[in-house]
Amino acid sequence: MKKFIERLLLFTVSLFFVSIFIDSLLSIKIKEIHEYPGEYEVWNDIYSEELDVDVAVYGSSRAWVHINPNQILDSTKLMCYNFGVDGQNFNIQFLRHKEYIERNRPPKMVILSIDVFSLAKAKDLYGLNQFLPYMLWDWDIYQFTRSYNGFSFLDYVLPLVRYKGKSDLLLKLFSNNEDKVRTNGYLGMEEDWNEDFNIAKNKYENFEIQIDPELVDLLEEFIKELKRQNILLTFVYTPEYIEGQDFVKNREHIFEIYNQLANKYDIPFIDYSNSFLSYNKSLFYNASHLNITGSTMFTQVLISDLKKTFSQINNNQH
Amino acid sequence: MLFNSIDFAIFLPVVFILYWFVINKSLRFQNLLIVAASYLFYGWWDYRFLSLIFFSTLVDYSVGLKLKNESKVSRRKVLLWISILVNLGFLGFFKYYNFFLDNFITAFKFLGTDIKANSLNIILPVGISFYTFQTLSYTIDVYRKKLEPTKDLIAFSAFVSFFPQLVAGPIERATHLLPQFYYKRDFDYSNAVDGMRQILWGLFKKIVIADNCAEFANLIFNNSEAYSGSTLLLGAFFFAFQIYGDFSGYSDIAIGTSRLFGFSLMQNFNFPYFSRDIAEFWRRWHISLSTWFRDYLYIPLGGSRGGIWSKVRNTFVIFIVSGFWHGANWTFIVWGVLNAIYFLPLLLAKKNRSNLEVVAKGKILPSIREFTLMMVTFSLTLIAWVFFRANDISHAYSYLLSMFSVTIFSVPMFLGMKKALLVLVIVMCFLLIEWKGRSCQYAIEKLWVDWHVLLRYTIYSIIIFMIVIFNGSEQEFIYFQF
Repeated sequence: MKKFIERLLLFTVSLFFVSIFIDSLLSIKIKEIHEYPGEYEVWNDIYSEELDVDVAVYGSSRAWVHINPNQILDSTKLMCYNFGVDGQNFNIQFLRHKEYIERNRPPKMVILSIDVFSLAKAKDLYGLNQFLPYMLWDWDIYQFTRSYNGFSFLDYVLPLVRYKGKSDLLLKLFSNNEDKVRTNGYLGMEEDWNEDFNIAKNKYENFEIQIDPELVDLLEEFIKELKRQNILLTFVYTPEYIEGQDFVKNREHIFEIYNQLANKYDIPFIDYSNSFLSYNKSLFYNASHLNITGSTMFTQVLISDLKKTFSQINNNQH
Repeated sequence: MLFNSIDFAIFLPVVFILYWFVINKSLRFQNLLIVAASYLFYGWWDYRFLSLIFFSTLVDYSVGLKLKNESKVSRRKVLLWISILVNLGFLGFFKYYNFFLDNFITAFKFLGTDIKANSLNIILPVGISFYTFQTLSYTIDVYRKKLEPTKDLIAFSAFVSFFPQLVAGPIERATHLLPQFYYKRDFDYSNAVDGMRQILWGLFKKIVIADNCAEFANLIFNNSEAYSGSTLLLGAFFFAFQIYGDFSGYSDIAIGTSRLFGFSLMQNFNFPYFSRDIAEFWRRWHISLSTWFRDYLYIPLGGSRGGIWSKVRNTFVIFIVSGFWHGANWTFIVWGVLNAIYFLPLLLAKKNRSNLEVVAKGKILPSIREFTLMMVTFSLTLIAWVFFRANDISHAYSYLLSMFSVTIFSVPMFLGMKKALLVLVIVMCFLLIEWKGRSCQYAIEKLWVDWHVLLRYTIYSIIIFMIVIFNGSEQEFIYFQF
């Protein structure tokens, strides 16, 4: 019996160490996957600890398909990076900010792209594969993702366990595209108007978004933190196709929350819901997302408005 | 509780430690622990059905004791029938009630009489077909005076509910398993290591082979009208390996787990897909059920003795009952009939026992003749599996009709082809390992055992990693529903 237990322990311990080794190898290879929506690329840039950014853009997909950092760089000579994360509310957007700020030089300015879903409660962890190569023994990722249906505790602490059943991911390693999906976190979508609008109309017509009070608190904490660090913050509600603005029943209430926070902390809030861009269907590929033509036009408008806001803020600071 | 669950991964070491370290001095306590652990294992799924196992145990224990003191043949027969009726009564109610009711209604409707009867919403207790047959083997053997009835209720309860094989076999004979509860078990290092190896291989078969094949078998069978003949053929192939990996994997885990506790269970699968004829296939597939039917049904009916008519009748009876045992659906009955049709020519030509030895014994490769025979036998089983897997007879018929159309020569096409190709490669590697170890109890029993410990551990680690990474979407074992 003693021999059996000894051998079993020896095997288990060696298996554990070999697992760590294989886990690392697998994680390194998975980080190199370039596929839509390019989340690994953004996480890699964050964890590279080499980001040198003046303007950071946060938000959901309405951030990373709308705001082109290269246009901002060309017009303002400020280094910009778009940290927008696909399909996520402010919880995961904040995780990105936290991971970025802890490992890299803080930005001078943050553009927070807010929308009706930013403070919405979410049960399932959307796009959970993006966390896999980074989450082992990462306390922050654990803190911000544990409340969702997605991972078990063992996934965060035991090597390889989170790769359980991820053979599809393994297959991608053999057919990986070398070209990056995003440029400084941005991807312009070369798409025409599609069926998403009708689907959303059926799904969200008279839809009431359940606000998560914890997310409102988190947003407030985030504002305070940026204030403490003297980082300028701007709320931006990027263009939204006008006919899609009726879907959410409590839209006004959500805007009230943003307005209250903006007033309380003296944050510029630039709202493009009623801008001329929001009335032009040809600039969108669905009700919430601009296509590349729309995003190029929008970024230009945003730069010009930011320049005005910058001078305002500068004046205020003086 | 599923073998491939975290719950079982915690349950097994806890029971193992208690069994060998805490109560190892007392045989009675060890048996009691097995009963408690087995009831917990079963109750994890649905505790309400524990009463069925408990009642079956009490009935057969009491019948066994009564049989011991009863010499009058007629009374002995009554006692035997009490046991048979109670056990098959439960089985009949839970498994076949709705089937018979629906068929009676249909039959009467066909004759012009409408019968109003509602089918019941009956949950099928997991493993009822397995433990019912196991307890029946006890009563029948006691009745036949092949086995001395036990007075030890705890040992008997442990025999009926022994958790490794409670829900999906192997269906043990009382003559083999029950006496093992009477004597003190000593821990045997090589037996335990062998058990661990067999568990590992069982998990590989279940999780890597069966669950991954299931993904494509389900996809193709559930949308069969949309696919070409070649894709349907591939679907049947995937199902063949799903059911083999699933069921033989379960058996390996059950046998391996039993070994950890010092028990020996019978071999349930003996590389059936390397069979050269259907008779050999049935000596190698679900051995514990085939031999159960042979000993308690086929031989009492006269077996292969008697005239042609009697042979034909007995063959059809045993295969149809075997099919019906699997489930209350005409598809299983047709599956049984088809196998009887495959088997009968061999029996009538007295060639049903011509391939008793392992194929290509001592050789690396089979001869062309052996290979051809194996392929023919596998193809026949593949056709039969279509009936086994199909939702109903018309589904099976249309599946086979489309499969054997000209599109069988086209290139298979379906969603997820890339992964399917990877699964096919893994199945081929699996078949090579199975071929290499075909003379053993299970494929990796003697494979790599004389290699350096580091190399051996590396191979076991690779198997474990494959189990983790290729963890398929299916979780339940197919045979739980039987």
